Amino acid sequence: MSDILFDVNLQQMPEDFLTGEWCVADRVLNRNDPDTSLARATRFSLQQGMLQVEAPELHDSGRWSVERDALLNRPYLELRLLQEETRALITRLRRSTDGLHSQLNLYFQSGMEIRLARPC
Amino acid sequence: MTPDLTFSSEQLRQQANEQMHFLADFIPQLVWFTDSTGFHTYFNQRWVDFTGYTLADSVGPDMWNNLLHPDDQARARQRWGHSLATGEFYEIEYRFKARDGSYRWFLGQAQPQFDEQGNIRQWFGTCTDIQQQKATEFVLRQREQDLERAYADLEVKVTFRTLELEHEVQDLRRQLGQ
Repeated sequence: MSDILFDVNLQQMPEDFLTGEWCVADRVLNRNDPDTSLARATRFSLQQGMLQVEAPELHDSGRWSVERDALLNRPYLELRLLQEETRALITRLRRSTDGLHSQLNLYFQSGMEIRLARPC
Repeated sequence: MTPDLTFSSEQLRQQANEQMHFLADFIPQLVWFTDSTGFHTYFNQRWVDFTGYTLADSVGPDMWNNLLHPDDQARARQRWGHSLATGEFYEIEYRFKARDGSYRWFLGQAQPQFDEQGNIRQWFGTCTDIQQQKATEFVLRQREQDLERAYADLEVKVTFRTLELEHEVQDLRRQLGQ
């Protein structure tokens, strides 16, 4: 079945597993400012180096890259938006065998956690 | 006239048989008997109601191939074969397909009855429905895995949020070491 999701080994994750359109399926703000574009985002578009964030009555864009650090056993995203610069640790990526269904869990420096899913 | 209260051995045997069938149909397990070579000689009504198979259906491999979950067939065959060959108590957890096509977990157990010479006369077996127990086990295992993951996540999240500080500490250590 194509919608059974399997954990991707984050240490060997190809970056193109992240590119494409993602919808916010779940979010825990913690101490994050609730008015930022990331905190209000409903949709992320990750294309080659380019990032677009859509939120109600708000649009932000910028650049993104996958970074790795010897102290972390998982990659993180460096996000440089017009309104905000931050990092988000990839805590989990799950994919169907055909790659059509995915879930991506991100943990931001602010403590905010977002679960992205696709297809939207 | 005084009624004849003596019973022939045939009547006694028939009465015992009826009582055994009554008991076997009453208990909540699926009950089965086989001869010493493993051929089925009895199924209780619960067996027939759940599986849809009668004694006549049990001849040949079709019943077991259809009844058992494909992932459990080889293990069940190996363990039953071992018990038949050695006379050891048979015990196994496996999945049976119900008449509606769904699978349920059962605990299968069988005990041999021996004759005076120590040869196996027949096997008495039961299958106890453990579906609920298996479901609970699965939920608990899942919860345990979630907790392990949450703990591992917590460690890496702390490192992530203090990454700059961690690097500064490493730099200081390096400088002190020089």
